[in-house]
Amino acid sequence: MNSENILELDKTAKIYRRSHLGKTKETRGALDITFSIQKGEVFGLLGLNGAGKTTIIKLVLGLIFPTSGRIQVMGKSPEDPLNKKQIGYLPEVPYFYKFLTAREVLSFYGRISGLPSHALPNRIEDALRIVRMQDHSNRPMREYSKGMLQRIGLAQAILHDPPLMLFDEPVTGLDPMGLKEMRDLLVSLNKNGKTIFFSSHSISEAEKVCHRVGIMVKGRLEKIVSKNEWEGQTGSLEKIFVDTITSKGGISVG
Amino acid sequence: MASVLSIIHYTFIQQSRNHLYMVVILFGLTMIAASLLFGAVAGDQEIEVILDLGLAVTELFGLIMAIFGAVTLILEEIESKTIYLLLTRPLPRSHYLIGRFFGLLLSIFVSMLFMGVFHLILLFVKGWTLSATFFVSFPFMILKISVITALALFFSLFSTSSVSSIVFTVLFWLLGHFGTELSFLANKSKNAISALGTKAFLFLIPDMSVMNYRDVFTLAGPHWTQQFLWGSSYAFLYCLACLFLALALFSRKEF
Amino acid sequence: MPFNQKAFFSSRKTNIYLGLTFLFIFFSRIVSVYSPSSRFPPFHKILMKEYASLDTSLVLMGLRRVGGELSFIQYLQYLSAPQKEINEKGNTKPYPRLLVLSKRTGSLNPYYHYSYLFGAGVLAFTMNRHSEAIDLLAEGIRWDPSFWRYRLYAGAIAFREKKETHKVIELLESAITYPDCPSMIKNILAGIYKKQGRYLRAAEIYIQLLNSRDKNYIIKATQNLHDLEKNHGIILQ
Repeated sequence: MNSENILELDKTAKIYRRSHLGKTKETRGALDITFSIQKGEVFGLLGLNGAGKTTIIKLVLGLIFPTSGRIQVMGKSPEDPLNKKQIGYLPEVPYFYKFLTAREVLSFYGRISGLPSHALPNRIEDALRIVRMQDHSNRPMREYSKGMLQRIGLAQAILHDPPLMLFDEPVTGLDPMGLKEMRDLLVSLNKNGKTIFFSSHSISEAEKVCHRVGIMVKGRLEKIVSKNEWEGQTGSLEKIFVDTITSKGGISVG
Repeated sequence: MASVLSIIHYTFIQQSRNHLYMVVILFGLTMIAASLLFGAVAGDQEIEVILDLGLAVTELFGLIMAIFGAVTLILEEIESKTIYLLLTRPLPRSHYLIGRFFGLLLSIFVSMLFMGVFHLILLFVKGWTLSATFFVSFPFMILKISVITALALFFSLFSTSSVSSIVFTVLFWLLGHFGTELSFLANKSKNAISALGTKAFLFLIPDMSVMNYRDVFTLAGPHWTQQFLWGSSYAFLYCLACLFLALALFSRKEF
Repeated sequence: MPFNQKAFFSSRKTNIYLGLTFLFIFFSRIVSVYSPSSRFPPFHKILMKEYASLDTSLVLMGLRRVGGELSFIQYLQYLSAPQKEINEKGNTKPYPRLLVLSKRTGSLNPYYHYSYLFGAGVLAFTMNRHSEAIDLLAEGIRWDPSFWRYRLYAGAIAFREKKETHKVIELLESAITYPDCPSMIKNILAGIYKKQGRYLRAAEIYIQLLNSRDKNYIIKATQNLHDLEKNHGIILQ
């Protein structure tokens, strides 16, 4: 593994097999995925619904296991639980324990992430301040709106100050102000040395923050585009995206 | 270790903030109080009936909590997807499973303790003379509950539905008390295959009679300390077997 | 997520866990087989078909002790109301099911000493069915030969049958010194003393009965003490 690469996938595939009444049905989640992300990079993964973006993220997190190929996160297998100290994950829809308050949830996650007890209260305060949720932190999570849950989702992802951030569709469902805040946060995190890997439908947001973008079509990573390929030309990433999708049979544009 | 303790802590809070948990405890207390009615018609045996019936009710309600708690413990977390933010942290799956198991056991023990204290108060009101039997029975009941909780946890990961998990667990609880009879039938059987099959099956089902001191304390036998040593060894080994089996399934489970 | 069998068994970690599972199951079975823990004998005979499902359920739930007590309560309920059976010859037999009900209690909890003593006492001293009483005690002795009070009661019943009252008194006096002696036996002994005119001793036993947990015997003892005081010159303080 290249020491500069924080994440490496080499010919990784994920085939879902479902057996029913003696018949096995196979569904391709991802096939022949090879790419790497360098330290300090912002890498976006674009694709239509069902393209395999979440599959890739789950493979990197060790929530699912590859059918073949190799994945290395900072030189270790995703199945190594201790390596997850280095990862901050924000799911598309963060699900929390409704009976706990935000502070209790962050305290719980902080302890599991190995944060020392003397440092934990300050880290929780910092995280709540960054996501602007200090005033609501003592209410039970069942009283939170979608936007508030998203903020706490962010808080738990940054709580233990991991070098690699994995965000699954972080801008989905956000209003314009929310979009700007998320974008500013991504930029800020990257400026502080974080490597960011996120999946999204939003080409415009990817254009604004990413150094590179991967385009997935039907489980395959068809193209990786660098910033210098779309920079300076408005709408060019969209054009590249659409061209890739249509050429690979992802969609027909009339 | 710290992560296991954190999981135990939050599992206990989760269980105790569950309305169903409170309802089961209240219902258990009511049933213990109802034992007074049986005692009233038992003549000289009033105290014995209240003692034995109260202990039995405590164990049965512990069983109900264990079965429903263990079956939904991880399944619910998977369905609600709250498990994602746990397994994407530096938390080995084994720590998560063990923490959830012990957290649930702790919540069941506390509820049995409530019922036990209430039961003691009733007994003293009825003029019971303090005897060690009550206090000795409790640890044995806890051993049984531990075994059935571990089994229920395994079934919840093995089976695709919570209903079938509950059915299997209850079946193993019942068969666990029927081991002596099954062994007797196997020995009496003239069919070698069915006898062998029964004996092989006995290998798998938990032997509850090793931990059933509550039922047999008047029987002649070794001192309760010796019985507890054997019972706790058995419970420890059987729980480990169930937990390793659950871990084997959980470690390869995909989300 | 579907269960992937191939991936499951190909994992080294999973195979280690499975191996440990079988190892611990094996050792637990060894502990179970060699454990000296007290156990009930196998429940293999349904004595009363109408209670078959209840009795089997109690055994399956590990509630044989409680089952024995519930069965004893049902026995007391049976005893509390007049029961009789008329046979082909037109003879009536009161409480015909006493023995089988007592044996049913014994089938659930063969070590329920009190129920055997109580049942034998009722059969012998109240119903004059000495052979059934001895039959019941014999079953108790079969399950627990070390409980010598079965033999004490058997002796008392045998002497009663031979009308050797002084020997009955001797054995019952021994029996009532034990805390598990049914109030019924104390009541019977007091009744024997009262019949013989030994009112002081009868009164002493009735006073003991005032501490009984069975309200019926408290009432009987109170009535008898009142009678002794009023009609037989016994002064109670």
